Amino acid sequence: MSKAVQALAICSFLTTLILLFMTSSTDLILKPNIDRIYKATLLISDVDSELWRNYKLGLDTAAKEYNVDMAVKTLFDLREDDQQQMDQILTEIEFGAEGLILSTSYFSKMVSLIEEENFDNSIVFTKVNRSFCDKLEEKCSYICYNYYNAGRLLGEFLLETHQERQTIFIVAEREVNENYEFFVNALQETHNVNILPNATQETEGSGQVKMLLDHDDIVVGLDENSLLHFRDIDGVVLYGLGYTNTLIDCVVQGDVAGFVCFNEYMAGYLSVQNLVTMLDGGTIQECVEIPYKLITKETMFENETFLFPIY
Amino acid sequence: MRKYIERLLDQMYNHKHISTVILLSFTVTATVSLALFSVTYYNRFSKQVESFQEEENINAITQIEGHFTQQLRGVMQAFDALYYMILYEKPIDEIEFDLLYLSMKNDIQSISLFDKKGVVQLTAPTMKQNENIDVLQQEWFLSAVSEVQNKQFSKPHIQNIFVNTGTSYEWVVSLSQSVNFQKDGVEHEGVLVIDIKYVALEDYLTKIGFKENGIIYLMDLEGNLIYHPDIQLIACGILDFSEETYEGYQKVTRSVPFVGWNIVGVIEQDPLDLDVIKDNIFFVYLLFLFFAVMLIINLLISVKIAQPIVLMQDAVKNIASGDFDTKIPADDGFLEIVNLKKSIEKMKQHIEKLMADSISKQEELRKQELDVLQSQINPHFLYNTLDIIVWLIEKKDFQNASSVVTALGRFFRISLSRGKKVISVRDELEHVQNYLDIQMVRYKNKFTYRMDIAESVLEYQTIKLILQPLVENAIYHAMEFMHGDGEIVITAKEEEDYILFSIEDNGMGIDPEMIALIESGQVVPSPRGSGIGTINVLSRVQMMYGMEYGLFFDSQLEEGTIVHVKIPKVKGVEES
Repeated sequence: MSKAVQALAICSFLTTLILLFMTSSTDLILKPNIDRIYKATLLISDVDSELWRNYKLGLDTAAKEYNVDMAVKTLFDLREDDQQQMDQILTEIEFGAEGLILSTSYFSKMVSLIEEENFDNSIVFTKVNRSFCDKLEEKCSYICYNYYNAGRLLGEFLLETHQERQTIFIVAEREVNENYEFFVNALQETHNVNILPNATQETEGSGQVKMLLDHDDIVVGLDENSLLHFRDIDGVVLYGLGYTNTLIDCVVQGDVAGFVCFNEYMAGYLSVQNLVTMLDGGTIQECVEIPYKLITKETMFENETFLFPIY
Repeated sequence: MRKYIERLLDQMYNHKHISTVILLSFTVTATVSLALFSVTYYNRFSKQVESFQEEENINAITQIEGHFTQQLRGVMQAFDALYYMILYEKPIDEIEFDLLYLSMKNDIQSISLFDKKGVVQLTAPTMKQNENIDVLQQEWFLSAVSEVQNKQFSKPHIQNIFVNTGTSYEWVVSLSQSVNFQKDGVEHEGVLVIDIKYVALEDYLTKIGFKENGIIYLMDLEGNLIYHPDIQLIACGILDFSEETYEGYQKVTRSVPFVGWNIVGVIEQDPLDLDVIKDNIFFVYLLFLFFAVMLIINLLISVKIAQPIVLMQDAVKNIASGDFDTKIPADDGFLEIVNLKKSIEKMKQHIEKLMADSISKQEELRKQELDVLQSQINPHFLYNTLDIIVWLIEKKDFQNASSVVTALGRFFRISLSRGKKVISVRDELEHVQNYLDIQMVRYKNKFTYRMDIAESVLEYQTIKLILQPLVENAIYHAMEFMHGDGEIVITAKEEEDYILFSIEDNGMGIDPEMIALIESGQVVPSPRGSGIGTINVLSRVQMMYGMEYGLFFDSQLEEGTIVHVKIPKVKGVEES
């Protein structure tokens, strides 16, 4: 063996020995798995609403599991001003949010604005109408609610339950936003629909609305307040979209016949899970469709884990 | 196989340095041993650790089950206390649940007593029954009624029998049993129920469960999940829970007494955490380190063993090349090496003695050969010279006769030199001069001669009678066949390392082939004599002084010949 080969062999051996020592006995090569803390912000329309309760439970469970420092900010006062919403998003990014979970009533406009800004940050849109998913930007993730199918489910149930095709009064606290339009459209396929926006406002008009309703008329409330507004009218059958404990109480007591709801806990959990996957550079399912159910008094406690997450 | 191994060993060992062979043998043996030891020990150690770990896991689950049972037993004892109080001691108007509820309110959601129609009789805390919920259809009520003798634990469910008073819908596990109670002096059948907070169970199990690399969960006998850290995710379908979920995990099941639940622990059997990986790499590092240390030790041992042999080999090589002054090393060390050294020393001395004898004998032989050669001087010269003297006396040329006699006397005086073989250059040249003087008379001055001698060479020593045969050749072989006057020039000069004599004639010259024969030491037949004169001189010079000395010819046909005699510069001692 030549001296050069001998020297090479000795050097290789020593290098291997040093590398093995450094790998096994120091943190220089194999670094300890220090959990990364992800910084993210959830921007929703109403942080105090009971409607978000289960969503936030799912969100918190996932945030704890995935080590996410999650801030929750409300867009309540800004819900009709897209530019201000965008300013708030930019502010969150400026304060270090690596990822955002967004829920907005005016989703289409928001998507356009975000496309214009061309963010590098990971964004998960939540509670997005499933029908929008086909034309969405690829780099975002979307937790989708299929409002159209939910409307179909309610419509078919109403046909089955109430035998004949009736006029459905759709009531809402404010204007019907673009998500609910799909829900309403689906109901229109099975019923005559009478849309009554701003139904909770004590105006002459709203008084007349109540007067319009007859026994066995079906009222579908797009929000809790508008639905409960009609609770005291005898014989009117009330259905809701989404749920709170108050609404559940109403169903238990028979004041409300039922409601269509989405698995809010799952939506919250998957929002964070997808965000973390995006932040880690992983592959995500861009459009995740959240399951929905029609809950009545009879089926309520068959679906306990759907309505009342065990956390 | 055996032949293959033998061939392999031959290839490994043949014509290799002994240190390499020792190092290779030791290292291979030690490495194989180390590898076998490491693999065996690692396997054994791993199995022991695995077995120990499994045992530890079983103990841990047993311990968890014990703690959990203890916790449930507290609730069950409270339940029993209430049960017997209702059954034997007091009518329900006199019973209050509040004290017990307050003492256990961290763990329980409510305590209630229902009659057989599902109407609440007592409750703590005070709550209004939800009239829209049919208690008789509740699972906990049905199971209590169907098995009146036993306490029944329900599956986790939402407590919905009371009107929600801001406490929201809580998950509970109901502990219920049929009980007869006294009210208004009448005995009634009913059901006592304690709703245990699910979150309390969860907290407790989280607290006593595994912190990492394992989880515990609870199942009832039908396989329904009672508790699982991810129960909600499983319910949503985000996580899968089936027989395959924990495949490859160690699964330990313990039944919780009196409850009808199983507590299941699943533990990762071979968690690939960083510490385990680092431990394995450290093990490999230790093997490399041991190998390195072993290699160094083997190297030192092989050098220690091989070095005396290598030194001895060098010494023997020197001896073999004739250097008998070389000392053989290894005065101490391995016994075999010391013995070998002694044997070689003896052998060396023996060879030295043999060689000395051989040299002595050869020297003797050489002397004898010289004597023989010197004795081969032509005897005819004496007869011829005596004839010349007689002839001169008859011619009454007494002066020349006297000169010849004188020259002859000097000639023989130097020839004999009292038996010496080495004489001074001065005497050798005088001897030649005497010879030439005699031959001048004989050949009636048909040639002349001249001597050109450097003064510095005169005191050097030479073997005697090396020039006279060459001069004789010059006269006989050159002058006799020449027409006209011949001339012989004898020169002697000192060179840097040797003395050079030259005998030059202007005779017929010598054929180059003849010169080649003479220089190669072959006897050249001569019509005038024995033909051995030149060979005689050449042999004697080379025998005496070595092969680098001798005769050299420079001859041109029809022009003449120069014969050079080269001898070493030897001073002082005349006889060696």
